[in-house]
Amino acid sequence: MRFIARHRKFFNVTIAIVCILLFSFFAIRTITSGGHEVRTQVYTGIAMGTAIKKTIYAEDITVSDRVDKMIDETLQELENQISVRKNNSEISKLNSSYVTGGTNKLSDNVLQCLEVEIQVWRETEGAFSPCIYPITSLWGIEEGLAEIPDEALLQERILSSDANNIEVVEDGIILNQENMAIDLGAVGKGLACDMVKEQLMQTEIRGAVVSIGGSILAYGDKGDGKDWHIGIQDPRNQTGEVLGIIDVDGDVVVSTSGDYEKYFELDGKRYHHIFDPITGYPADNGLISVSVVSDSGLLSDALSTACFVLGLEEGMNYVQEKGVEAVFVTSDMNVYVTKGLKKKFRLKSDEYTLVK
Amino acid sequence: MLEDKLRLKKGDYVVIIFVVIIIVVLLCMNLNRKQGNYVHITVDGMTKTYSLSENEVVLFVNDKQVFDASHTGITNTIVIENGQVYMKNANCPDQVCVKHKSISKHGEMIICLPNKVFVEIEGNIANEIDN
Ligand SMILES: [Zn+2]
Repeated sequence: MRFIARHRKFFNVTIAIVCILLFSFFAIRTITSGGHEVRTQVYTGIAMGTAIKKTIYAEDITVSDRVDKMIDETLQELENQISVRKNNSEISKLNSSYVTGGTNKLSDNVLQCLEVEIQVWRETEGAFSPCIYPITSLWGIEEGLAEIPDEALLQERILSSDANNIEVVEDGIILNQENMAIDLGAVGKGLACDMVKEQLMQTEIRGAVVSIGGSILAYGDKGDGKDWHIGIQDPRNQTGEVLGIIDVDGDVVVSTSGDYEKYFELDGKRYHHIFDPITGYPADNGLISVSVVSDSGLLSDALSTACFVLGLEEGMNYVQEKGVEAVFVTSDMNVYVTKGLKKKFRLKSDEYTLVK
Repeated sequence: MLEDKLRLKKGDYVVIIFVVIIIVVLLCMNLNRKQGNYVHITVDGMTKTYSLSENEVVLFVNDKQVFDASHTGITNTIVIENGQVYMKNANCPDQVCVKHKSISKHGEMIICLPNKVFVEIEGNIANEIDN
């Protein structure tokens, strides 16, 4: 005690300094972690023929692991149901065994998908088709074919890709033409995002970003109250650079369609995998990429494809009609965004010009 | 006499500075804990993790010593250099992974879809993009 008394001032000073240091240390920790210890877990894989990336924000890593597995199972199930590349899928069975004029029963989610697709087909006057598979498979670009198909054969396929021949009835559809083939490829990834979102809502995780090919679901929040920053792929730079960033709050899907994913070049012209159902050729309306932001993944996926075929002017009118936001990139390297995105889109590449 | 006792002496200052230095060092160590930078490489469903600080580590993914993926017939050469990772070459048809820029920030990835090879950064350099 005599020692402490003698060195009283020394002890006071030391304790004060220790307290200040400890306080600032914990203050910094609390601020940087947003008050909670939220862990980010990233999972990667392949499903539905595309790359999957899930970033899951949860307070417990075992929860993230469980959610990751759950999502994988859902995607696998959906792929087994709608893939045109799996002989046993519901869609493949429909395509290979339907009888013209007969009723084909379909699952609820497939039917709901088709109804949205048929609506988009009608509203775009045929710029989008839910049964474009006869054209897609003839070109075979995704399978690596690199030539222009025979014109007579293509004309036949165009007839088979006309959605006028689809009739929706209670719990199923009727196909009124031979050699038709339904393909949910243009909406499958968006639909998958919707299903994942439903599933995430049943869990205790606070936020997640799930990329399924060109469709990205932003769910919940990161724990810091800030927007999600969704990077849009630069359509002319394949090095992983982004064209720009869209800031979105939780629970939206951003889907992008572009001419850069699968294509071949012939005589200096690019032949890509997004077809105009009316011409039977890859869409050629001056766009190289369209991104659509919507609460519905299904709609964002369908509209990004439809707008890519429609072109800038008609596409812009259409998304405004539908009340969704979009980013259009033209082949002359101009970027156009809808009104609602003016403050939320940041151009990152200086190869492009943002048109105000 | 009492004032004399309360005045700090030279020895006191030395001890105070010493204590402060020790605390600062301990706190810094604590802050830096678990903040290493890693690259996770997944081939054929197997994941291995390497430190980003190991310079010029070249991985032949189909080399048995690194990954026993020889039966898959894939070749992807992944280079870790100065905290950056890139795909030097690959025997995939699209070569998308080889064209990809070097990655170094948390969450950045290079994917070789045909060969099913994933290269992913886990680190403390924040990425501006969430997807
Ligand atoms: Zn590759």
